[in-house]
Amino acid sequence: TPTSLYPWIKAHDHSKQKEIADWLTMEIKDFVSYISPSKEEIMARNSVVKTLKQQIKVCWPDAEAHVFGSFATDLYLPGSDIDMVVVSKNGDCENRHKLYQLSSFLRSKKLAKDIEVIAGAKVPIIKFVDPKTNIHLDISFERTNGLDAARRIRKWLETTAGLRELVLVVKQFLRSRKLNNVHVGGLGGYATIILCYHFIKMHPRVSTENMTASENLGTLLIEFFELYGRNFSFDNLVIAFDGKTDSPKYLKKYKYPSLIASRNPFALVVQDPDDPGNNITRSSYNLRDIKKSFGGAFQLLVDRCYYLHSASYKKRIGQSILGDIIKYKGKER
Amino acid sequence: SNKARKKQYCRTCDLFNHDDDNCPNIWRSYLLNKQPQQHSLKDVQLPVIYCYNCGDSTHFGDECKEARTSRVPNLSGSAFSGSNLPQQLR
Repeated sequence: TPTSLYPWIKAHDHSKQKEIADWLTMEIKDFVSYISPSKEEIMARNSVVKTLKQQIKVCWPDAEAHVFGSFATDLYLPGSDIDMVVVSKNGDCENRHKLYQLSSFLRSKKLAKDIEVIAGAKVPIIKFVDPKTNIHLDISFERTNGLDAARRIRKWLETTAGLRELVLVVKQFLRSRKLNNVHVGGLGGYATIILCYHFIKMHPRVSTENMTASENLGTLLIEFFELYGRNFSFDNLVIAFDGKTDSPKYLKKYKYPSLIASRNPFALVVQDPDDPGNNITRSSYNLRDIKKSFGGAFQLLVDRCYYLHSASYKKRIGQSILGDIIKYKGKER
Repeated sequence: SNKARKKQYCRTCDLFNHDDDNCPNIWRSYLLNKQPQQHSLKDVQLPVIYCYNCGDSTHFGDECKEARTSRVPNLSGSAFSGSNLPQQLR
């Protein structure tokens, strides 16, 4: 199969749209359906998870394995890893001895290759690769906060049309700029979802039910980059939700010194909706580049809109708006 | 230069920040929900208002009176402005 730089626009030409924002909205939907996993991929992932859940039960009868992260919320991109957590009645699975016990069990059952046991970390994990599908997996132990987050995200997705599309585009954008890895200061999946949801819920026309987010994804994507790339005061504000009503709000940093770990005022602080004392983005130290990339995406998108708006129909045919911010080299499908 | 700046004028916005071909209204267009003609303020969902600059809930960021902390200038306005509310709430 041939590959192209913007594989999602093949056979989906919107160059005749009158409003450039509608063109972008349609292109976002095409992109999302392009990167969404096929039936075969979904079935392969489900079967990997099912087998592991059963076999971990065989190894440790009083423990239960669960999935969390992007697999549990259906917000994964092609090639994303699967996150699992093992929770036991005794709560003792995290000790070094038991980690090695599980890793050799998985190896003996031929359920894992390239196994790494990271026992000394703050969050001990076993990393490995599924031999059949080559999907990467991370197993952590006795921590239920990932499960709480997944539950909350699933609720947001059910009640917020357009959230899934916005998140997937922003996630893919961050991945293409290598800014999605928290180990090098990037923005994690949960933080990305919170920024998108918070933005949608605060939008003057969405919060007043004057418009529906899923019908305005084009303008909303540009305005997402406009808010976090140009206007939001990372120095002054904390991104938060009301504990009772779950509605979005900003807190003033100086009133919540316990949330602030960094001495640098230019730091992203996102209050954990399930744990008000926790800052979800404490590892996202590379805010400088994150903000710069959002600002750059805003500029690229609006310049592209201005160019295509005044271009002739002939020049518009087969063009991409999103292609400037997301270089996704992939199979045409 | 000063001369180039004088040429920049947008007839839609009546602003000198950008010209007609670089007007945010080209992309900042919304597909609105169908709404009944007559509207009493009672049926209207009130906006969530927080300022992106100072965090106050009395105004949006574009109307903030405090010093701007972001170093990127905001010349032509953003989504978070009182003027971006539905007509009956402005």
